[in-house]
Amino acid sequence: MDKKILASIFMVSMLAFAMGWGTYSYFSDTETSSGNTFSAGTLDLKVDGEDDPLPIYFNVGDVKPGDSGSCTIALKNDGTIGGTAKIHIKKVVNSEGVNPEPETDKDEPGDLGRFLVLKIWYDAEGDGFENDDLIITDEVNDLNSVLTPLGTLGAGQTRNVKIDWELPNSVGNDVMGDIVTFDIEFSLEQA
Amino acid sequence: MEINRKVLISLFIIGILALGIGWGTHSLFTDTETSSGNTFTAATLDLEVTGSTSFTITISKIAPGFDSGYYKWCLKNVGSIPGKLSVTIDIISDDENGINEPEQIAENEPYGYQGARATLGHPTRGELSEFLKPGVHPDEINPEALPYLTFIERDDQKGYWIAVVSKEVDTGGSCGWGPSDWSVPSTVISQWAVGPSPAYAGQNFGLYSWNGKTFVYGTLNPGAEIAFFFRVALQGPKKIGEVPVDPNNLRAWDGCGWHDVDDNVIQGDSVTFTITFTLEQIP
Repeated sequence: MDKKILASIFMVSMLAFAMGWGTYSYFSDTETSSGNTFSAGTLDLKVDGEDDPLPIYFNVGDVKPGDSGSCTIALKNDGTIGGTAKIHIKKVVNSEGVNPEPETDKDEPGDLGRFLVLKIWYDAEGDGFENDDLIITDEVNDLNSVLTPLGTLGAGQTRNVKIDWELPNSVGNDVMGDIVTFDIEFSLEQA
Repeated sequence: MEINRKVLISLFIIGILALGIGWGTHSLFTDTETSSGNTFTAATLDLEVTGSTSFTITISKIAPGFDSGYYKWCLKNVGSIPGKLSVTIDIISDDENGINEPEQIAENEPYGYQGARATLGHPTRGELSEFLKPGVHPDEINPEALPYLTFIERDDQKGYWIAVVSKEVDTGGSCGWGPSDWSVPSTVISQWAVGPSPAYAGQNFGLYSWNGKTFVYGTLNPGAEIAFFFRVALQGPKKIGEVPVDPNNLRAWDGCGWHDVDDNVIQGDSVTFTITFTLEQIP
């Protein structure tokens, strides 16, 4: 009885040994990928090639009804990931400035921001400004603190923003000598 | 109770999700650049008038030979942009103030060669404005002024002439523009009396023909100053300035030539008119 058990154990051991040998003899190949890295993308907006503080784009004096003008600004995504470009007109301040005799509204605040119209364009396709590139048209006062998305700006892309301004003919003498001041903020946000 | 609980739990989950979304947005990359202090300043357009204080002038109780002398207004652009300066003359009343016996006789005088109206008297208004001349007929210009006049326009049909005066000299009744330190105009606008004629149907003579008329000076730059001179006179036995006036006193153009009229036609008449200066933005 003891003998039989011992023989069985021996047999099982031998089989196990043989199986082990068998496994070791299968084909095998190993490759190593070392140094896997995650690096964060970059999102860097350049406005006409510059960072903060940007130059003053508009310093226009002697504006009279019917006058208009325009300013084109290049936005560049100098980073490695695409984003959405946005414009933000903020800190609109109206003052009366000088009050000549014919002015019809001499009470603060000034009235120029109520009437001065801005038209903001974004050349999303980079093929020049077309009708469908018009993003928003409104008076300066109504644009105050409105964050307006312009469109996408891919990594490495440069796209133009155009800001047209106009003081409509119908304004009249309310705005004489009045002053409106505001900030223009451009931002690029991860898409 | 069970439903309320479920609703509360749902709301709680939604709240947590919303919070998560909010946090997520804030953690996205963003880069912002600012241009501050963009400024627009509106222009001013402002006309300052000094000199004569009257802009409404009434001429009454006058007789042939009357001369108002020059009214002079100095006009200065005290705004920040150039403007177009002009003056407009409007007759606001032209009254008979009653008709006495000699005036009635004169009013009934047959008038005009193929004239627009049968009598010298106008049916609905006074006649003073027809004879009160704001300008001077070219034939009556002060001879001493002639060498200094350069005619730009003369229209005998419409009855006006425009000339530039190169020296401070009295042309004898004309109205116009001139330097503010002059006492007589330099650029002269003059319109003389033209009586009723088939072509003008009685509407183009004397001060009456200036009613509603605008005379443009041109561009007045910021800080610039110009004077406007205005003078009205009646022909008569006296001299108007240096000009020898017609001894026949009041006369009118009848479509063919000048002819003498009964001076009594203007007795008691008065005329009131306004002078309005306008400085307009140049588009």
